[in-house]
Amino acid sequence: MGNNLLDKAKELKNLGARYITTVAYLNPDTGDKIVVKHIFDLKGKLEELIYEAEFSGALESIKEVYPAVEWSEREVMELYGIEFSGYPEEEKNLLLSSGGHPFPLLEVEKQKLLKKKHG
Amino acid sequence: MDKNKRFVLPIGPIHIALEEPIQLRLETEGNIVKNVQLKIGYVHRAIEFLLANKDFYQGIIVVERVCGICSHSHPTCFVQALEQIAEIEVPLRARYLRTLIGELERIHSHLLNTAITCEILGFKTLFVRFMNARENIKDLMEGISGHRGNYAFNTIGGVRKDLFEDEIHEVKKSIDSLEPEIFQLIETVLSNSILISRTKGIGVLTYQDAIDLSVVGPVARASGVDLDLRKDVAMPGAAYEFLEFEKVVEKDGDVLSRVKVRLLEMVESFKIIKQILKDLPKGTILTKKFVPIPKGIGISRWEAPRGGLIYYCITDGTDIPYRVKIRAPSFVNIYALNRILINQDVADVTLISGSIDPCFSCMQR
Repeated sequence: MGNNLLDKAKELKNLGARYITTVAYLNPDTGDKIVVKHIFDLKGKLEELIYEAEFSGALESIKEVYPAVEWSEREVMELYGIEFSGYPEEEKNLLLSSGGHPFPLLEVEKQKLLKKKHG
Repeated sequence: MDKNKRFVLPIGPIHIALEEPIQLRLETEGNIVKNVQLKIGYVHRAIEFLLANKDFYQGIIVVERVCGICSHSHPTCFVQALEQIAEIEVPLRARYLRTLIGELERIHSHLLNTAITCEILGFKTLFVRFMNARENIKDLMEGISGHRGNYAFNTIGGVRKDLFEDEIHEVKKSIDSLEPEIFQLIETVLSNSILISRTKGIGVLTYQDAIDLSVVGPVARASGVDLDLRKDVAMPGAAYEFLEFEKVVEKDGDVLSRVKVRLLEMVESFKIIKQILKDLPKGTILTKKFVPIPKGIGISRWEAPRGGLIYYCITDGTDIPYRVKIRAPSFVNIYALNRILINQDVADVTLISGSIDPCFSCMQR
């Protein structure tokens, strides 16, 4: 998988950082990768763990260190199509298990970038 | 029946404690919950998707509808992020007015949750009295903003409605009459031995679990986690830095502690409201600086009644946000039920679920 998200999460945990949320979006400058940011509160200041993933790429889950990340990671998987390690197939959905367009936010952001490029 | 045989008991998705859907799949041994699976997604409304297709002003209207209870917290947090990107300074009077509505919202939210707790416990009269008091607060909010819910109070750079001198006088009068009524209700709950014995030691979330599960708001403070964004972080859209109040923190982490934190927070909210009405600064309610929102990232935090709310906004220089991520406080608090419900009696599941003040619409967006 080639990233050390878990180690960095452990370092933050040891410093006393509290997990807040995970944000993902298609890189608006290049349009070729998905930016994933885990956001933490460290004594009132925000800290971010930032990674970029290829389309359908995989990232290491930090659920082992911060259990509350589970729903956020599952949400990123279903909205953007990237994978976090350690989730069985039936847990890859969270909000859209009843159906709908796959990876809706990835699609809308792709369209925005195309529109910007070609007018 | 074999006591060690496990049995899966599905509860929901219809109406567990609140009129909102979630499914709890409880694995039980006898009456005791041994494992919990939460299933959400029943009220997902694709709000982040909608926001990616609406301009900023339409977005304010959409985010007001993320939650029916915190319909002031969401737009305030959203506009605060946009103001941060555009470096717009909000007039002081507008910051005070936002804080005023924010604290009234906290009171009505806490009154609602306490009413529901009383109803679950069978105290129907107390339920009615709490709901009646909440109705009076809602009337007051309607008087100030013009709306009973979805207040349409916020806009980028300030607020949309001012309070005139005679209106301030009327609000003061209402607060002076509501305060003793609500304080009496608080006292009634805190001195009721049946209510205390029914909630004490139930649904405990330890300090360490509260830290590990990153819970926020009254749920965290009831477990001894000293966390309140009103005191801990800068909120350039609010006026908390000019106001005096205390964080309410309890130690036991049980249902009673969560009830207590909410009740005592209402006392602090009244303190804040009275200061606002006394010291409301003169001046404009809307910035004079109207600029396009440039390309940038704005991260805004707000202490909603249920805890820390965060909006992560990315703009690309157009009038439509590129990405808006909303993390409602219930998103982390409800997840904590996975741990809080373990080894609890099935009969207490509704009471415990209600005690974390879950907002399923808020968290599923």
